Amino acid sequence: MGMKMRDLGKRGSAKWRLEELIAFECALAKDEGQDWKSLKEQDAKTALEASVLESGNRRAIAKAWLKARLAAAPEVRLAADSVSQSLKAAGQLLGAGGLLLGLGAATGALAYTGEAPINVSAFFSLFVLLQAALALALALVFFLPRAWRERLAFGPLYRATRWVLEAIFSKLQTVSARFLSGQQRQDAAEWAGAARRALALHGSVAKWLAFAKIQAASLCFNFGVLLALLVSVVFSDRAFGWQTTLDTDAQAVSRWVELVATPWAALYGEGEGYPSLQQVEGSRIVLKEGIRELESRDLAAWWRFLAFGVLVYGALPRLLFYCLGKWQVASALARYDFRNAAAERLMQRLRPEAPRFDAERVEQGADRGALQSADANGREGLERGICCLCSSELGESFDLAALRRGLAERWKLSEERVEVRTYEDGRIAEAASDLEEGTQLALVFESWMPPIREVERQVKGLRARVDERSLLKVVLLGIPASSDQAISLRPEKQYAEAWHSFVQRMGDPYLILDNPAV
Amino acid sequence: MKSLPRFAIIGHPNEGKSSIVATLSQNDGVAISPIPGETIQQQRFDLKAGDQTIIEFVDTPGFQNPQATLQWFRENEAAGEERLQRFIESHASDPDFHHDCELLRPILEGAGILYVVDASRPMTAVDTAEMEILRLTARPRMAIINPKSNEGRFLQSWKTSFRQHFNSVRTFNAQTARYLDRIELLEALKSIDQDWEPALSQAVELMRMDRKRCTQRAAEAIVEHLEQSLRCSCSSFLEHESGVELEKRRLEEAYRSKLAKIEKRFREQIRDVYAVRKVAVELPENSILAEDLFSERAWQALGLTQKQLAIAGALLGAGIGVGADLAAGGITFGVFASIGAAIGAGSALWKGKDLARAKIKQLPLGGLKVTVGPNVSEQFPFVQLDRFFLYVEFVSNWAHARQEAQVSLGDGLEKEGLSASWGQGELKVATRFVKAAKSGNAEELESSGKELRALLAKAIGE
Repeated sequence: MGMKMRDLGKRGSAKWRLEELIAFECALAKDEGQDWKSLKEQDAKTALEASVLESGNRRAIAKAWLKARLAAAPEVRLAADSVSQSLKAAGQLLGAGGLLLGLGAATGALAYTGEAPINVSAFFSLFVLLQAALALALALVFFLPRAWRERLAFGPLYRATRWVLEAIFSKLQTVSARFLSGQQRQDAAEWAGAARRALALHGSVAKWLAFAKIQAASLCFNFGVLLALLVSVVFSDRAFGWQTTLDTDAQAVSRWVELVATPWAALYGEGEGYPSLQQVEGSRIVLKEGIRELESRDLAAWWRFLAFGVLVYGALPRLLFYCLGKWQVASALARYDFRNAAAERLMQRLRPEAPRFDAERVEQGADRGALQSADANGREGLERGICCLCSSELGESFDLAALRRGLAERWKLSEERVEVRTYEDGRIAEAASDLEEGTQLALVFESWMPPIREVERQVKGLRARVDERSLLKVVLLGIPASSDQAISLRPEKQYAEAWHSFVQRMGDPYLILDNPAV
Repeated sequence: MKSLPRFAIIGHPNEGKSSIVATLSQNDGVAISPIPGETIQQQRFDLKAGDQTIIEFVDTPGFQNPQATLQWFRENEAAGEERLQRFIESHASDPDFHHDCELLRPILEGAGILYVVDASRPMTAVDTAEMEILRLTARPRMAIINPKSNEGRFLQSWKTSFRQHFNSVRTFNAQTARYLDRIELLEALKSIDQDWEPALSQAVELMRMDRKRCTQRAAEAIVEHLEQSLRCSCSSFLEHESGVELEKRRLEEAYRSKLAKIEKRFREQIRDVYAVRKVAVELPENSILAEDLFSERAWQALGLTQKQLAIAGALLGAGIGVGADLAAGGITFGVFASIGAAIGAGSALWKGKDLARAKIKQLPLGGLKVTVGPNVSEQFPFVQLDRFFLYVEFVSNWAHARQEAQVSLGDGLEKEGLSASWGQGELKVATRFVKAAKSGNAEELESSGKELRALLAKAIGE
């Protein structure tokens, strides 16, 4: 047990390992339910190096924070260790299963009683040819153009499976709705959303991790076959022979064998790495004649060929694929985007004068200088400012200039960098269609109106128009405390909870509730 | 058969539609949740008077696509009266519009519309769209303001909008509505469609009659359980005097528990009478009814005033004196009656909350009989009666939408006991019953019980 996280947070090293990412997710999940104030207090104790914070490098900041968090919270480390170890154990189990399967299958295929020799063709077909074909098919998939691969992946079989699963899910939903309460339905939808979010964020890592584990298991299978072959050859008498009903001469077989043995022929040539023509001729079995007349040396000549075959056409491609998998896992980890909602929330927490999630600044009207310096500090994704979208009816009921002022102050941006746009009849996506790339979007909603399907569709429509990795902020308006107050960005808890659940249900990792509750 | 008035309760999610249905249909089995989207399909709840259904209420899911629905309605204006039916037909298979179809279906089937909004919040585009859709259905409709808070700043804008879209507007708080509020709302429903007026008038009349029946049953339950309380006692036999003190304490406990059981049975009966079944109405912590029957506070707050107690004591004592006068052949000119009255009044003042004292009786064949109860205090019947009465008041005005297990009761929400407001006439009726119950005189008990029932029914009805 025990993760090797000693190098966590090493200055300059912002490379993330799988165990660290798991620990990061565990730590964020633990903090999720806590209130903003206690999180800020907790983070204040971590005392991250100012240079790391000032660097603006999210990977480095997150890593340094994780190191401090793990040191302060052993329970997070324990949870992360458990997940990592479980993954490791699953890999080991797969590997052990592959080894045993290879061992068992090869032992069965190598059965010899002295009557009929082991059929080289059958053994070769099963443990070399088939594996080589599979490896080749897999390799070809990587060389296929992306469109072809997608067509292959999302072909008729995929569509049929998806249709069946959707039908089952829909039926289950209808049936379950009869006996599940609203709360239970909401919980289930939130779980589904969390799964979608995790898949969107970690799908690539998970896919390649599974790929690597499967390749490792296949490699173990080949080792099992090799082990069975070597053990049976070393510790027992085995005779190998080939047979056919067809009128095939030994020369053709020998040529073919020579061709197959090309990869290792330089090291182990004819008679060693593969049987010579005479040995091929001498190991042909004609069942009615028996094997007594055949030379024992010829009958034993095949095992090296088979062993090299398994090694080169079975084990080696799997090893290469395994390495590819590991490399892709590392690449996926390197590609992990720390601009997603959860990471963004962490960054906001770590900013010394961060806009608070659960409260507004007490002091109104921050001075312009402070805003400019905040701008200068650089916020990734805010190079072109933020565009806030709200319904035209909201614009008629509330002072949009005050909204703009309030949001600029909240995000510590100059007012010029906050644009407020209105849309008609829920057409959010159309309102955002002409925005410059890099402009961040915020959707302003009345918190007191619980989110409905229409809003869900509108947000999904907007997401389809913008980059899937661009952060979408949901800003909730609170009911102004008095008629003097033009705007309130403090949603009441009872309303904000419904919106929090909405964001969870959406399963969009780049959708963030900017001001969850008072 | 003439069709019943039918109303669909419609609105945005989490506006309190199910609460309105629960309170109006007096059914605490309606699923209510603070989470939006609890109701996912239309469900009928009948308002019954006895066994007869008088009005049908249909609880519906909240609007999920009001703007898209309104757009469809506008685009299909040519469909005229068939617009609603066509909308449902064309969207029935779309899971996104399941809720919208469900809520519009009862309207298509001829139900009137009760549109529920929480007017303590500002109006939005979605509200406007919803109201416009309902207007386009051209069905009789009423807007019900179900305020979730006391915020009144937005009320005017709501009312202005309601006037454009609805035939009538009412404020109805599903959480606090009492019986009379429900009746008023039903009366108001007559105004949204003249065709329903006779049926609704009959429904209201039947509801009033049903309420009267409930009141009678509640009064009967009070009298029946009061008699049980007054006659309640516990006794046991002991061979030696040594265990008397211990036995007394045990019997006192048993006596209290017996009284508590009587109260529990009474409360169950009352909840049954007023159809408060699913929600276990726990009494407010600060309620006098949550106090132990013999607590200091219960005895201070309930029962008779000192002055009334003197009168009651006199009335109770006078009976003994009259008996002595009669025994003396009437030659005492009522002297004994006057003395009896004086003694009665004095004891009533002094006994206060004296618990039923244990009586120990030496048995002729050896051993002792220890008896606790019935309670000898003149105040006791009135404290008990007030507790019964207040519980009836509490349950009979319970809004069925209330889901809380514990009720917080503000000052002034719970009035003092009934007996404190009684004059000499009512006291006379009550003391007659108390005396009859104590003496076990069946004939007297029946006639005085009848009078007391009438007195209580009148008080509950008020």
